[in-house]
Amino acid sequence: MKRTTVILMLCLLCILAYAQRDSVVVREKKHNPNYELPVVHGFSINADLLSPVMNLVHGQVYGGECHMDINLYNRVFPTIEVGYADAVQNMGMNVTYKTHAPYVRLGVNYGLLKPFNKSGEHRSLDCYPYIGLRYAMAFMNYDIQNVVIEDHYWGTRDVKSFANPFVYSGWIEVVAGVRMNLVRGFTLGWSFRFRGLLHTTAADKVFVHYVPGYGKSDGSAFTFNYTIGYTFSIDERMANESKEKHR
Amino acid sequence: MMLVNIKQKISILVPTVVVSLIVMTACTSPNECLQNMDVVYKANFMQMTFDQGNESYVANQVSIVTSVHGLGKDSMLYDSARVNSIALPLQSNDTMSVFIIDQLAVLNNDTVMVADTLWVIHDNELEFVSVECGCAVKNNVRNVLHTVNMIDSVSRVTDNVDRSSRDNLKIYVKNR
Repeated sequence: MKRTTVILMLCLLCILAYAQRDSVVVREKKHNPNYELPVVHGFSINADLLSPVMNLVHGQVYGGECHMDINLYNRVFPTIEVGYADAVQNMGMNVTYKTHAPYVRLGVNYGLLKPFNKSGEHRSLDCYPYIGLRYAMAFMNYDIQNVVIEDHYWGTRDVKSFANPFVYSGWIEVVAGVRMNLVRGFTLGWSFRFRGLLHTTAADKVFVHYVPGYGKSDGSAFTFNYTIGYTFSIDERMANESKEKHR
Repeated sequence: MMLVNIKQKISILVPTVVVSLIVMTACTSPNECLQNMDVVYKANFMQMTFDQGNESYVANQVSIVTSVHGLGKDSMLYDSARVNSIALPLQSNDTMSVFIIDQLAVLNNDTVMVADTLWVIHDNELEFVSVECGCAVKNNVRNVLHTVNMIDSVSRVTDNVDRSSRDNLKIYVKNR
C-alpha cells in the first residue's frame, strides 16, 4: 500500500513538473525604443492669437486664452487650456446679453509623426501634425436684460430680465492641428476644432446664448486657434544619455 | 538657412490664418429673429350635416362670413371675412380672453349679423425663445364658454397654445 502511494506521488510530481515545463514560457522582453526614458521631453506654454483678433472683428467679446501641454515620449501631449471671456451683446430692441466667465479645456494631443528614426534615436520634431480631444467647461453667469413682451392686439407691454447667478456649461472638442518650432524654442501653431455636445445646467440652451470658450450656442461648430508659445525642452543629448544609462 | 526655414513655415501659416479669418467672419449669424413668434388660439368652424347614405350626422368644416374682435377692442381681427377657421390671440397678462364673434345669418328672410361671445379661460407661461427673438407667452386653456345664438357647441382639441400652429378648438355653428 505504502509502495503504491509513493509511486502515485512520484507520478503526480512528474505530471506537475511536465505541466510546469509546458506552461511557463520565458519570453524575452521585447525592445520597444518608442517608449523609453525620458518620459517627459519638455513642456510648452502658448497664447492664443486668434481670440484678440476675433474680439476686434466681432467686438463686444473680450478675453483670451493660453494653452499648456507636457511632451510625453514626443508622442502624447496632455493639455490644459484656460481662458476668460467677457461678452456683452446688444441684440436689437434694447435686449442685452451679458456673460463673463473663465473656462477650462482638458484633453490630450497625439502626435502623428513617429518620434524615433529607424535606428531608434530620438528625432527632433521641428514641425508635427497632431490630433486631439478636449472636454471643456465654462463656469458662467449670464444676464439677459430688457426682453420686451409685447401683445400687439391687446395693447399690453411688459419688460422681463433674466439674471441667473451661475450655470455650468460643458462640451467636447475634436482637434486637429500643426505646431512648428520657429526659432530657439519659440513655436507657432494652428488648430482646427470641431465642437459639439453642448450641455448646460441652465433651464434651456437658449439661455446660454454665448458660452465663454465655445462662442454662440447656435453658432458654427467649427473654430480655429492660432498660437504662439515657448517650449521648454529637455536637450536631446540628455535624452539619449539617459537612454544609454537605462539600457 | 534657418531664415529660409522660418520663411517657409510662415508662408504656410499666414495663408491659413487669412483663410480661416475670412471663413470665421463670414460665418457670423445676423442678430435677427428667424422663428415664428405668433401664439394664437386656432378655432375651426364646423357644422353638423345629415349624411343620407349612412343615415347619420357628420361634422364638416365650413366657411362662414364672420367678424371677430376682442371685448373692449375696436380693432377687428376679422372684418366680414369668409373663413373656415380663426386665429385668436389670447391675452398675455390676463387669464381670460373674451372675443365677440359675429356671424352672417338669415332670419325671417333678412340677412343679419348675429353675435356670440366666446370666453377662453387660460393660464399663461413665459417662454424664452432666444436672445434674438425674446419671449413668447404660451397658454394652457382651462375652459371655454360661449353664448348660443349662432354657436351650437364647442369642442376643445388641444389645450396647449404655443408657437406651433395646431388646431385648438372646434366651434360648431347652427344651420341657419
